[in-house]
Amino acid sequence: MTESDVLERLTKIFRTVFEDDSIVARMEMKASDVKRWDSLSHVDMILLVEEEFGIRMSARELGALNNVGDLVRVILAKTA
Amino acid sequence: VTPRYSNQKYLQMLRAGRGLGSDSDGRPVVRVAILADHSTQQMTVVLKAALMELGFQALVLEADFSTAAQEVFDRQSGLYAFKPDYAFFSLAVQKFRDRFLQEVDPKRVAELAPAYLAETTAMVDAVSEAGVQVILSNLALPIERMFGNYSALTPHSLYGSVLAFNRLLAEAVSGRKRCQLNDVMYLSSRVGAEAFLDERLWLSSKYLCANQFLPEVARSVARLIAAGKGKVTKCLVLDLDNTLWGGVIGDDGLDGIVLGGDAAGEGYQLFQRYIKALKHRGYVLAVCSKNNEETALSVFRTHPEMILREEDIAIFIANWNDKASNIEFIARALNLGLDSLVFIDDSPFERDLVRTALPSVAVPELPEDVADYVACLEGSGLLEATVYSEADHDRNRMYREEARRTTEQIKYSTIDDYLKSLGMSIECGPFTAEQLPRIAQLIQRSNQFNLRTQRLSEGDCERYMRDPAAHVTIQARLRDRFGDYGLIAVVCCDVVSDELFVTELLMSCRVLKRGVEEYLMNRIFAECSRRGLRAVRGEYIKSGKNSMVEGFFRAFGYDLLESDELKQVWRLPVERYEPRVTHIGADPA
Repeated sequence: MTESDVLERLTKIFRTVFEDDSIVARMEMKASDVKRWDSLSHVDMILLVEEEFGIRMSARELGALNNVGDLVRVILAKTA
Repeated sequence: VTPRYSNQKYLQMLRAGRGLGSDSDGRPVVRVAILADHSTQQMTVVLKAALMELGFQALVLEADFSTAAQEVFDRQSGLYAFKPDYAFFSLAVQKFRDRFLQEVDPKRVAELAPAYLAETTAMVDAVSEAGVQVILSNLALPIERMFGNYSALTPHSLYGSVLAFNRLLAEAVSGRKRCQLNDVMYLSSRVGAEAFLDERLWLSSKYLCANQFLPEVARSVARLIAAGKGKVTKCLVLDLDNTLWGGVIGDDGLDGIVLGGDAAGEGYQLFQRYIKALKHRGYVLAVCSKNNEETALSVFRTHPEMILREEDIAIFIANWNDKASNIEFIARALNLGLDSLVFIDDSPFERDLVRTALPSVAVPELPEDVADYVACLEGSGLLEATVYSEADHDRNRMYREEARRTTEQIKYSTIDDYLKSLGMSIECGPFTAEQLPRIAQLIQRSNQFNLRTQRLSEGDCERYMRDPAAHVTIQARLRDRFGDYGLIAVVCCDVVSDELFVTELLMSCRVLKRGVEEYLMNRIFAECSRRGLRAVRGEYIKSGKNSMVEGFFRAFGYDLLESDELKQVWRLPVERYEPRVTHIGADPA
């Protein structure tokens, strides 16, 4: 799986969770860039990511994501 | 295969809840205050969606969880200003764990469960005294045992302490009026504690459970609310071929159908045993099958492995008509609303047809494998009772008699002849303590013949019973030559200066047009004269289900005093009432 594969699948999840069909996931994207990305929808998003990729994030990883790139790297590491 | 629980499904429900407008569109509105010791933003939205699924428009107030206690004990608080119908207390096992782990003194550890319960019930009672109905969650069983298997034996383990708390909580709920248990322990154990409790979500955001199970918790609460408002299922309408046995009786014959013997055959027997047990708990059974009647009945009469017998079925419909028409006929013959029926059929085609033609009939999505039938019915949440009494044991028999009467009626030329032929006798008197659970139950269940739908609780009825000077109470049991109907009518009146006001008047629809209405009215006016009162005042309050009694007071010659969209007020002076003739004899009771 490549970085762009992951971004493509994240785009689908983001559009569902953040309720905006124009969102395109990018590596440097941050929560503050997305209107409905708050602490509540963040959790919803992470759980959908877990379901989509069949992975489990640790408590530490839940809190240590600074941008989409961090999330993509965690996904790639866990699915490698 | 779509999993039963998933974050996708949770998110769909969350979005459904967010998308709800504030316009009730004629749906009944319920006001629910959530009092929780965990975060509730998501629960609030999902609960709205769950109530919408059951046809309610919800207004939900989240009390800030750190201040729930203050809100509850302060009558001036936002909680009471919100005027909730329901207060939903939701307790996180993690909060209980915090307290448990803080205690060092062994004595205090051992007493944590009763102490925690006392704090909880103090809040429950405060809310309840303010007239709010309470729904109280118990705790999910925790992962932490501390002593392995021994933990279940001692309150010094977290697991043992939670077990003790939940047991005490169940006792506390059953000892209280206006209080219902939301069994989170059951929901969480059904899916497994490891899946239900997501420690990461508790640590980061104080979530009660993994999001994917939140819909299940919310639906459970919504069903309690609906049940409290009389939305309960009463009758299971059963298909036969591939539902109660394997194969098709018309093709495979008595020797060819699968019932008993191998695993699948045992599975069908287990399902039948479960259905029979439901019958003994008050559910009415009907059969609706595409078959020749004789062929279908032959299985019930002669197959040695059958668990259900002909006499277990209140009404047996086997023909080639479409199932929707047959189900409507069943509802009419049993005098039940379509929304109290559950249709159980293995065929996706029939299920779909009934869902489309009769949307108010509940149709669970029966799985392929008979081994999963019981779990499907349990998981559907359609079996929800607010109370159980031993009188329910016999309900199916009464409905069976009712179906026989319906056929009998055709033989008599006039309604008077028919009523005389029934040999009815009534046992009628004020409320008694032994009857209170039954009375409260009838009040919860009656929707159509119900003038004001006040849904007086058992506690309310008890207060009426204890003050006969200020109130008139009437409960009535009816018998005829076919059998005993049990308790069929309830009346509560208040003496208001020189008049009698009818607070609650309701009757089981099974005894419509037998003269019970007239008998009760005679009795109300007799009571009025005896007390020297001058008139009876009554109201009809529209509930959406009780249009059949809209003309009730007019039929007795009452004068209409006021009337608007929702309510009519009627009055009739004692001297103008003419006692009605009925064909009901009085039982000397």
